[in-house]
Order: sequence, then C-alpha cells, then structure tokens
Amino acid sequence: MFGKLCKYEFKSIGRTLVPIYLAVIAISILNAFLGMGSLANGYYNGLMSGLSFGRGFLSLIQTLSVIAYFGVLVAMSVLTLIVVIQRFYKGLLCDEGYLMFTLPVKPWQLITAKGVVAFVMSMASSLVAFASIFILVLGTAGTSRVFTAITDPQLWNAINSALAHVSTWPLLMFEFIILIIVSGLVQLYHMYFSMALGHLASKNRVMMSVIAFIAISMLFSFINGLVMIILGNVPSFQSFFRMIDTMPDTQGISLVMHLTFIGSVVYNAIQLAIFFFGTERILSKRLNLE
Amino acid sequence: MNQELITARGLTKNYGSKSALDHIDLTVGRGRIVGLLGPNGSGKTTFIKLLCGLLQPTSGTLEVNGNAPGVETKSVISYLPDRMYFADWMKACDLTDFFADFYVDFDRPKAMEMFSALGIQPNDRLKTMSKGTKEKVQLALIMSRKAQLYLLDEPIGGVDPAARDFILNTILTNYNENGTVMLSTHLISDIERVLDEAIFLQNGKVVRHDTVDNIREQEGKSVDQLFREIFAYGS
Amino acid sequence: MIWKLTDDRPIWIQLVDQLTLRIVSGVYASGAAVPTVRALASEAGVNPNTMQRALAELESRGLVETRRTAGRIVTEDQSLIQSVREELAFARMDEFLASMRALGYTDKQIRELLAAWDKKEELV
Repeated sequence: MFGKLCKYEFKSIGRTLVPIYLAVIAISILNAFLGMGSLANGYYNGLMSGLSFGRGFLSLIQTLSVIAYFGVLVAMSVLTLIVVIQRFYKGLLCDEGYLMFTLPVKPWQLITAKGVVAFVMSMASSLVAFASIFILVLGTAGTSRVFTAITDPQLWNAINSALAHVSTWPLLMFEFIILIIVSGLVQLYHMYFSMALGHLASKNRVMMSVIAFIAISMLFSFINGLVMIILGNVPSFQSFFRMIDTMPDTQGISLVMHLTFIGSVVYNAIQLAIFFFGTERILSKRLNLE
Repeated sequence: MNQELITARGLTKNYGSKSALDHIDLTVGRGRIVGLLGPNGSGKTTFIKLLCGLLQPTSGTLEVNGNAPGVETKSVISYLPDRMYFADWMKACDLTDFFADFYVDFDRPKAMEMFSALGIQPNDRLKTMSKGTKEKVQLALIMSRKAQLYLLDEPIGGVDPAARDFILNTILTNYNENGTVMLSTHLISDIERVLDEAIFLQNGKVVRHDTVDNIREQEGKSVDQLFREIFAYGS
Repeated sequence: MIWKLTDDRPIWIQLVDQLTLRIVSGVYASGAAVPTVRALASEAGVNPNTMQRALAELESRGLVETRRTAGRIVTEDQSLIQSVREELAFARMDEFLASMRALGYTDKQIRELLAAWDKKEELV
C-alpha cells in the first residue's frame, strides 16, 4: 500500500516538475552555445565582427537567454517548494483528503509517502540545477577542457592525499549524507506539522499554518541558542574542547566534524520525530475536513 | 459475520462546545438500504464521516463489522462524499487504476461498463467533464466496489429528476446484495420507495428508527409525510 | 404497464397487488418465467428487499412457484389464476356497487342501468 501511495504521489508531483526540469535543461543547453557560454568563450565574436547588420539582434538574444536561464532556475526552486506544500495541503487537508483518508491505509503511511516523495523530488530539483550548471560550464569552457580538468591526475592525487589524512572519511561521508537526508526531511515536516497545526483552527487555516510555521522556527532557534550557551558553559565540555585543540591537526578536525555531524543528525532527528508524530497524531485524532 | 453491520453506542461528537451528535444508540443490519434523514445540520454528515473514519468520536463507540473505524473498516466501506474528491487532471482510466490499486473489492470491468454507458472514454479528463458527469463518474466508481457498506452523502442533492433516477437506478442495480447502503438526504419523497429503513435525525439525536413498511403500516402515511410532521417545528 | 405506488400503504402490499394484476391479466403468462427480483425492483424503482417480500407473498399464495432449474415462474394452475381473477373482479364489483348505492340507486336499478349502458355508450 505504501508503495502505491508513493506511486500516485510521484505521478501527481512529477506532472508539474518534470516539464520544468526539461525546460531548465533545454535552456541551459541553449545558453551553453548561444548565451553565457558564447559570451565567455567568444565563439561568435569572429562571426559577429563580420556582421554589420543583426549584431545587436544576436546580443539581444544572448541577453534574453541569460535572463531566461536564471528565470527558469528560480522558477524551478520556487515551484518545487510550492508543489511540495500544495501536495500536502490540497492533497490531504482539502477535498482530496476525503479520498486519501478513506483509503484503507494508516495516516502515518499517507504522511510518510508525502514526505519521502517530496524529499526525492527536492533532491531531483537540486540535481537538475547542478546538471544545468555543469552543462553551462561545458559550453563555456569547452568539453575537452572540462574533461581534462576533471581527469587531471594531479587533482585526484590531491584528493587522495587529503583523504589519506582523514582515515575515517567513508564514515564522515556517510554521516554527511544522513545529515542531508534528515535535515531535508526536517524542513519538509516542519511545513507539514505547521499545516497540521493550522488545520486545528476552525477558520483561517492557511494563516494559522503560516503563524505556526513562524512560531515553530522561533521556538527552535531559541532552543538552539539555549543549547549552545549551556554547552559552552558546562565545564566538562570546555575541557573537552581544549583537549581537541591540542590534538594533531587532521585528527582534531575530523573528530570535530564527526561530533558536529552526529550532533546535528541527533538534533535534527529529534525535531523530525516531534514534527512527524505531531502531524500523525493531529491527522489521526483531530482530522476535521471542511 | 452474524453480528450487526453497524453498532453505535452513546456515540457523541462535539465541535467545540457545539454538539453535532448526542448519544446515538443504533444498530443497522446487512443487506439493507437505509435512509439517514433529517434537515440540514441534524448530524447526518457527521455520522457518515464518523463511520468512514474522517472524524473521531468525542465519546461513545462505533463499530462496523465489529471493528472501530480504521484500515479494516475502510477496506469494506465505499464512501461517496458530497463533493468531488479527485484531482481534476486525472483521466477516467487513472481513476479506475487508483481504485483497483487500493480496493481489492473493486470490479474494474464493471466500472468501465458504466463509464461507457455514460459515454465516457478511458482517456477523458475530469477537467473536461461537466459537474453532473463528474458526479456520475464518482458514483460509478463507488458502486463498482463489492463493499459491505456503501455510505452515500446527499447523492441526490441538487440534481435534476433525470439524474436522480439515474443515480437511484445505479445504486439499486449495482450494490452488493450482502452489503448495506446508507444514504443521507432531506429529499425523502424521491427515495422513499427504495428504502428498507429510515433513521430520523434531529439536532444530533435519533428521533425514530424503523422500517419504511412499519412506518406506513402504523402511521398510515408515507415517510415523507411523517418527516414533514416531525420536523415541522423547531428545525 | 407502469408501476403506480401511493403514499398511504406499505409498498410491498402495493407491489403484491400490482404483480397479481399482471398475472391474472396475462402480462406474465402462466408457466412463464417471472423477471428477477433485481430487474423488477429496478423497473419499479423500489428496494430489492421490498420486491422480494412481495414475491414471497405471491409464492405463499401459490401464484408463483420457484423451480430449481427455471427459477421463478408463474403458476401453471389455471384454476387458481381464474379464482384469483374472479376474486379481484368481485372486489371491483363490490366497490362499484357501494359507490352506486351511495348515489341512491337500488340494486335493481343498477342492473337496469348496466343493461342500458351499452347503448348509452354508443350514443356518446
């Protein structure tokens, strides 16, 4: 059942986002050869100097395609956010909720499917953004130069020797990936929990959701600050940090990184648990569709 | 399977300080067509929403097939809300896919048959359909399930007589004979002859629950007339 | 034939009356299959349980029979159909006579009137 929920979620989210992805890729290809790329590598300069007529026209196209590129990139990130919010709000808390909450599934499955799919699609949006930048670099610098640059043995030697100093780098990478996932999910469930809280109001539910979002943000940044102050003032932590200071370079840094990553993962996981179970409880016990 | 299909005991639902259902006690058996009758605001929709798990009771208990509302009851209840609940980008075939995926009792060929009787192609989008057609599509899907309990909230509210006849006929010819149909309405004269039982709700209380035959035999008048008398004042 | 249902009596009793009428008038011929409960219910726009109850009543009166192979059929007992038909006819006559008496006619006058009625109809 969970898989089927995800399937339909992908279908309805992909409907909006996949066309935008295609547009971003198309416009970055266009830019790589016509717009920013050609401006930088002067590919058309020779051609343009030979032109007396239409020169202004070509540069106008270049400018426009640059603007279009940034426009589409911004549109993609804004749209991703809007679609994620809308899929939860309209898909569960408005008329479609009548369908979803009468399916033979548990509320936590609905909420999890929303979160997982929204996270995957946010990642996809980021990937598309990276891909578009990469395409642009290819167009600007030329394929062969980019290829030699990334296959340069010196670069890889440098990376290897850097990694050799940090013996625990696979673990660090793993922690980092977990952190990205957990903190990404926290962002999503922060919004979901706010909408669930807003749903408790009998009217002005959208406004109440926004207020809930802001209130939660303020609460957690307050807790954040408080924790920092407490940690900074606990003697055993102070002596611990002094000990790290005296450690050999990379060892100290990697220990600090491990601690930061694990600490952040734990902190984010606690937040995520609060948001998730809060949302689940509200939608299980206090659901009241209009 | 011998117990009653629906059992409510002391069922109460409050919205804030307002009481929508007030200590409802009733049982409904299987293979019945039951009318949930009452003026607007009498608690009909609240009762249906409690049955399909869209609301949680404030107090009291409610069981369908011996289970409190949850995954088990949702898989045997086919619910028609008083609104469109599909995203309008979906095509007719998306809807049947959806129902086939989530409901094991869904009969896809039956749904396709009803669609084609309505002149709907599998690739037609909901967006392009009229409001009346969308409602019929939704009803066709609901009635294509072999459910234990069909909950229809105001299925004939605000439709013309031809559509009403279509709706009643669809219900009569398609419901699972071992299942119960419960439909809420305030237009009683239109549906009286299809009902086995009538439940009269007033201000969140059951004021009468009897078979239509009994009501006619005892009162010598139609359920519709009785309804008008009961609700003539204070509704 | 259309199904006419009124508000004052239980629906199943009205269905029994109308089904009986169909049988004695030959709409459902003796020995022929009776349509299914669902088909009848849908045609009359009534609840299948109600139609079922009406058919069960007809069965107990012997007007329809359930055959293991053929389903439900109209009885082949012609004399039963005839006697029910007569019963109905007598009932109609009773009603007729009652209303004529209410108009102040004696039974003798009613007979004379009926005998003369054929001609009257031709005059109209």
